[in-house]
Amino acid sequence: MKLSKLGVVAIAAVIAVGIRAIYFTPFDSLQGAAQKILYVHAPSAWVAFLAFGLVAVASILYLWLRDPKLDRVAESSAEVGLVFTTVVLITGPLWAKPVWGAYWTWDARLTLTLFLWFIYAGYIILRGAIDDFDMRARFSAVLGILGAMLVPFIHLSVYFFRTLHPMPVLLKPSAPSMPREMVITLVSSFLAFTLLYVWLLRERYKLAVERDAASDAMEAHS
Amino acid sequence: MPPQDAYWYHLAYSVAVVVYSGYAVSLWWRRRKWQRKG
Repeated sequence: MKLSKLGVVAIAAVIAVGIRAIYFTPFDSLQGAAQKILYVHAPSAWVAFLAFGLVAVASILYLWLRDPKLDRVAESSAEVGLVFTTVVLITGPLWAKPVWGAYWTWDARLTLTLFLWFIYAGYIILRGAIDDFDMRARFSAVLGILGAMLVPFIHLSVYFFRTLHPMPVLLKPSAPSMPREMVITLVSSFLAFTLLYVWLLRERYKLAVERDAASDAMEAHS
Repeated sequence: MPPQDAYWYHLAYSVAVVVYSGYAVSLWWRRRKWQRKG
């Protein structure tokens, strides 16, 4: 696998944002250095939601049009989304420990995000357990759509429930609630991580195409 | 004074680098496997 132009741009963007976050963005006056975890945690969460949203859209379209390409898009986006959710679930507790004094609390947003991870881990296990293409694609499309229904609840959970999790600082109707230098770093990190997602999604889709082509070739030979 | 201990965010950034680069390597590895089979 040769590194594509998109891959080079995505990796360079993430490295640039990392350098800006570490060396050129001030510490938060209350949370100190631990606040810089936000520049990895929040964009990873955004990308996870975007990825599962795409799973739902591709799955709905698959159930309607029955195009295998849409199933591959859903499969690829679910796997990449699961990777980003894993980073969210690791970096969140690493922020919580110095700020809250505990790695984890059974808060609504944290718990729902953990459920989201389990649903899409189950989605990938389900796909591996069914050999028949049509049945696998249909069953996983339904699970993919149902799993994505958690996404708006997770985003709005800080308003619906009493929660320890901080309120959104950027993805909200009012103005950002942080200094300009931090907002620039945060917006840049959202863009860089979105690029990283698009690149990984494209590579994962190519993998699915090559796997299906190789499977077809092996079936034809046997 | 805010806590200035950078340990937690260095750890978080390192974990993110390991997870994302590990996943990219796994994609490269799996694609190579299927290309050989095909």
